[in-house]
Amino acid sequence: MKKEGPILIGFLTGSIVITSYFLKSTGLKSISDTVVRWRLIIAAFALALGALNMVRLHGKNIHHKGRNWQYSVVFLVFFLPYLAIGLIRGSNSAQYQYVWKSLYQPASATMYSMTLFYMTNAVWRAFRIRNLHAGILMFTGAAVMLGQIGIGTAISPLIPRFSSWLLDTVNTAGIRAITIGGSLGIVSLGLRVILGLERSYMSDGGN
Amino acid sequence: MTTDVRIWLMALMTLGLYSYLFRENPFFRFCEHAYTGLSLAHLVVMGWTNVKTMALTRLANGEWATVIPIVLGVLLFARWFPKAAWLSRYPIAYLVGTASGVTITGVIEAGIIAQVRAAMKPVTNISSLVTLLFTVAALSVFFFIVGNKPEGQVGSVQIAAWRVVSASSYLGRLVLMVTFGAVFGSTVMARLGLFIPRLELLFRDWIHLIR
Amino acid sequence: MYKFTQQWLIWGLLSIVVLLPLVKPIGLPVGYAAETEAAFKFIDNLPKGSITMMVCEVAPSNAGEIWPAAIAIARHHLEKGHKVVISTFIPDGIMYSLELGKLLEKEYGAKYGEDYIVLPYVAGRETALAAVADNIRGVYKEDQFKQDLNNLPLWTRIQSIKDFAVVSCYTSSDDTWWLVRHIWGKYQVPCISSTVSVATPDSLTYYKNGQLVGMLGGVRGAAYYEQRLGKPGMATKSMDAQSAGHIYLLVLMLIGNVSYWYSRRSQGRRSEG
Repeated sequence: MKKEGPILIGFLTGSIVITSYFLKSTGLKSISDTVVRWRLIIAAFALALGALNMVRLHGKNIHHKGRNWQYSVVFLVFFLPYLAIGLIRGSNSAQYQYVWKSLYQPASATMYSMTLFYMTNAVWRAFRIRNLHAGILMFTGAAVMLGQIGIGTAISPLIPRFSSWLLDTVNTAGIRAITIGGSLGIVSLGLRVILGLERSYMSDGGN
Repeated sequence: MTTDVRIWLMALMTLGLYSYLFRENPFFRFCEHAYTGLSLAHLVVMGWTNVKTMALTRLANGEWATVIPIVLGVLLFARWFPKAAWLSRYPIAYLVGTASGVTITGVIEAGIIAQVRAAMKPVTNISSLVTLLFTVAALSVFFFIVGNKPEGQVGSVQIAAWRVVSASSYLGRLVLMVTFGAVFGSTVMARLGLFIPRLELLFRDWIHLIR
Repeated sequence: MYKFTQQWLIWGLLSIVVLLPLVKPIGLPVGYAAETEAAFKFIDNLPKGSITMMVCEVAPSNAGEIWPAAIAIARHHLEKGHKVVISTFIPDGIMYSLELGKLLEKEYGAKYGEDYIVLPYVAGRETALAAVADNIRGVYKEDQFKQDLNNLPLWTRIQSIKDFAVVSCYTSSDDTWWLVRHIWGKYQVPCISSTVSVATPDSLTYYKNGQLVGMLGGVRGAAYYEQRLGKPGMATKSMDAQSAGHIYLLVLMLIGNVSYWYSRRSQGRRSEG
């Protein structure tokens, strides 16, 4: 029950979806559509599980007066009221949108924009032409950068043209090879999961 | 400087998080935890709305079978109880099994057949010849069957085959460097694209330096 | 006081260099982008009344790049008299979907339910997109405002994904890949992708393969589209700052490498001596 049951479920769901794709039977497609639709419901629970796990973590930290527990209080002070607004008034409500636009949106955008500073550091400190491979990487990077911006076009129309050629010809070859290799990998991993050979998803701490 | 409370909140949140560039400090930590709290509340709200529209409403409308994914979804929370944690394997197996099936069906046509078809188009000019040769070369990088140089009593054909694949693989690595270079070149625009709106918020909307 | 370091000089200069063109725009040209031109022409040639889907995977973390593209294409659709169904598969996307709807109402007087519909967020990422491709009516019963979709005139014209003249996606993730797999690959519905710049090399290959009818790569793609539409917006405004930032980073790269080669040469001389 603890191992065979989940493996059977994985096998059944995966093979129903694959079989319906190849056999083109209306009855089978309807079953497959239902299987996939049910997955969306479970995925929604998974979304909440991930978030609530963090709440448990912060709750425990406050309870045990752990390290920086004051910030766990901050977490809950923002989490709980916003959750309440969302559940009671809904995500379309003016209050929910106000908080989202005033606090969440700038915070999220700022967090990701900080990577620019670290990338600048990397460009300054680490990007060195030490060998042919590094040289090609940097030359292409510079060509693509110049090709994308107005100054590149202003200097010479040949720059964006060369950059486009690199992207269309050499880059396409590289991406195509990566895509084919990756796709073969996806198919083989997927089949391993469906056949029950890949079981790493069952590591839950249970027996 | 603006008097709009919303812009002030946005600016303070932005500055609070940017203060991390100096060093980790209480202002940053406050903003960081506020952001995490809001972000996770948003996730729960979205998850719950989904459960309501996709499952509970349908259940109320007489689609009784919907009780199955609801039960499986609830079983995910069994992970919180060590003795019952194994029960969460059922929904996870469902998630993983279905996702594998869906991915495989999509990947076969779009990821393999269409790519090979596109690579094997008739060669009409130098660029298309270069793309074809470079695709083969880049593919040979992943051709792990040909490993080290054959040793011992091996035929000249084997040695020649090894040499061809090795040379092709070397060229393929250079092709991949061009690809990674292109990705890096594009990354700069992506990062600047995130930073510029922050500057616009601070210097246009907040202190009105930009008109 | 914190020590004034080289790092702060580099970061400070970066901020100033990017800020200056925002204060005083230069108006540098936006180069030709064949793949974006293809997207523009495809949408431009769609007949009036065509139903289109916009997969709005916009989040604050990528909005700087792809939100202008979503706005430009939405405007184009409305100008050509197309109908727009807005969907999303990321939690943040719903906020931008609602925003897009408001914009269409404000600028074009679009009527909800007749000219556009906002569909609710569906969890499950790739599986969700695949489910919509396979059976859109099975996935959606209500819109974002909890109305029965069957009561909306636009929805009654939609039976399957094949009823869409084009599906466009605005994403920083693998959505282009999923679009190509499940919507183009399985049903041959024309697809357009607007991606963040970093995903441009990937998406460009799908365009070259014929799996996408057009694409918009990052801010540059959005700026080109805005100019082609004759409505310069956020992307066009930021292109000068983009140019300045790029040049700054190229100069840093150059100085870094020159100093590296110089120090290697002097080290070599010292060891010879």
